[in-house]
Amino acid sequence: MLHSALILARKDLRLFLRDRTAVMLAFLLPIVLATVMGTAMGGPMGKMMVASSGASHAFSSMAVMMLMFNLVASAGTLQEERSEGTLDRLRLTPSAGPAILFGKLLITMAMALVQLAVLFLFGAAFFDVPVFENAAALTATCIVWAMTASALGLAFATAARTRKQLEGLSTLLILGMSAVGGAWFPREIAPAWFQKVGLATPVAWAMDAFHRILWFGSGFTDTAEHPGIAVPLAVLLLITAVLFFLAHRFYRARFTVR
Amino acid sequence: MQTTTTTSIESPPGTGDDALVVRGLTKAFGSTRAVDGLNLSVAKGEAVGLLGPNGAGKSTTLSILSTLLDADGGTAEVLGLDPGAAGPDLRRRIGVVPQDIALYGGLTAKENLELFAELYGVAGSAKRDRVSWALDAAGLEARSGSRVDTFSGGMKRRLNLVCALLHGPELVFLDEPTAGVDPQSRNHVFEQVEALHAAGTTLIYTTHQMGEVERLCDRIVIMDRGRSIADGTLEELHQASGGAGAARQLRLLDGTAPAEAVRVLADAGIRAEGVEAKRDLESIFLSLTGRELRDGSDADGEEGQA
Repeated sequence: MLHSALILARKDLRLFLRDRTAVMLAFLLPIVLATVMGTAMGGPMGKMMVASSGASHAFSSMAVMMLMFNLVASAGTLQEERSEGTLDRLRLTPSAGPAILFGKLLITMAMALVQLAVLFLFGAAFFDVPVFENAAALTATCIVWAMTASALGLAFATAARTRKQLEGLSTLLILGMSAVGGAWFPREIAPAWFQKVGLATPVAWAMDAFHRILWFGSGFTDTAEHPGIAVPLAVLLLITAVLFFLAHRFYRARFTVR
Repeated sequence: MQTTTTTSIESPPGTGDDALVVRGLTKAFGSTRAVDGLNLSVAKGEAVGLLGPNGAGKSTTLSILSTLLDADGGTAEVLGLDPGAAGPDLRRRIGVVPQDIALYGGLTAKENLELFAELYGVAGSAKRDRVSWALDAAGLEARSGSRVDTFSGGMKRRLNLVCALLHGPELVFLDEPTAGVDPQSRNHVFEQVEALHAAGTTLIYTTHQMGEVERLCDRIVIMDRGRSIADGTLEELHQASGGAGAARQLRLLDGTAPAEAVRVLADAGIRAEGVEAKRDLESIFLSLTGRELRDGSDADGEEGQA
């Protein structure tokens, strides 16, 4: 199955790289938005922060929010393949059937990791975002968030009945989750009840992990001063498993009607 | 002359040489019975035309037999395997040419072929050979590196066909493989299908082009409302539908006046109402415009830039 999934992922990569608009949206738009927000919010927000925390928040929030948009668009190619008949053609081959969803997961995860790397390296180069101070924790968080966002994209893409439905629903849900999850403004400045509501979204756990690393210099485990990222990552992995399970169920029910 | 067949002929019972045996196949979508007790058997190497009006159940039948859909009832054996259970084992041995152009427009012709070859398990030098064969068979060698979304409809149709043949299937389902293309490409696709038949591949061919079925198929099955309502050779269908009353078409050789032919027939005691000049438009078109494929000179904008 892995071999077939890699063949399918290579196909999706080729199609993505030939779509210049998609490439621009995936890589340039998050950087532009993070630059604008980072510039507007730049400067320390308190002595407890280790670096230019406004920019850190801007790059974290773009890493979280824009990645979800990009990965929903990427996973949404399933809808196009279904309407164009290529999905059935793949299903008619002996090896592709079970690998189709796995291949989408592989390519969306790979794209996510590249996008996160580009975004944070840009932040480090031009906004002093402290990505190298705890590189292992940040890398782990990027990998886990790439998995969660990919599974989320697949769940949305397989739950929607049409591409238009996918675009409408995903925009609404991503913006809603980003607002309550702390991607628009730090949850720490919101009322307690708002912070609790936010915890129902993967965005809040991802933002918590990025904040703990980039604002407080946290590592995997808790210290006397600051909590670590182990709990947020564990919750994100759990959410990832649930989302991928849902994506698999939706895919079987709606894309392989038998 | 064309006659309308309304007589139902039972499909012969299956034998050990059957590529396909279907008994009492049913499939419903909600309250609509798309396939309703279909019986069908096809011998190995046979080319069977599956005809029927839109909604007759042809495409649903092909989807069931090619493993995409599960039947609600009845039994089916394709190359000795149950399509509902065999999955990959059966898919390795069959090819399906879908009605829609199911290709990746953002990939080149060669990339599309390589993708499907790899997914069918054709690798290494075999892959190179088969892709090269397919490009040649589709008449697309010169455009192998062009993106498919720059192709004309005919080029896409030809590529759509050969993508299903890369793994050398024993049985091929063809769902209107010549729909919506110019006569040159239609003829080219059809010649490829005829070559498959000549090589001993079993073919199940659905189309609305009666002439194609007459030219290609050993046997014809006519479906309506999910059932087979006629099954036999063209001659058998004529006879079963009351051949005595069927009109016949005479081909007059050059120099023979139609009126004289009618008079001679009448003198011989043969009733004839007249001789109607009838032309095979496709043959005339091909004789005037040639059989050469016209991929590079599409002036109406259908074909984009490579």
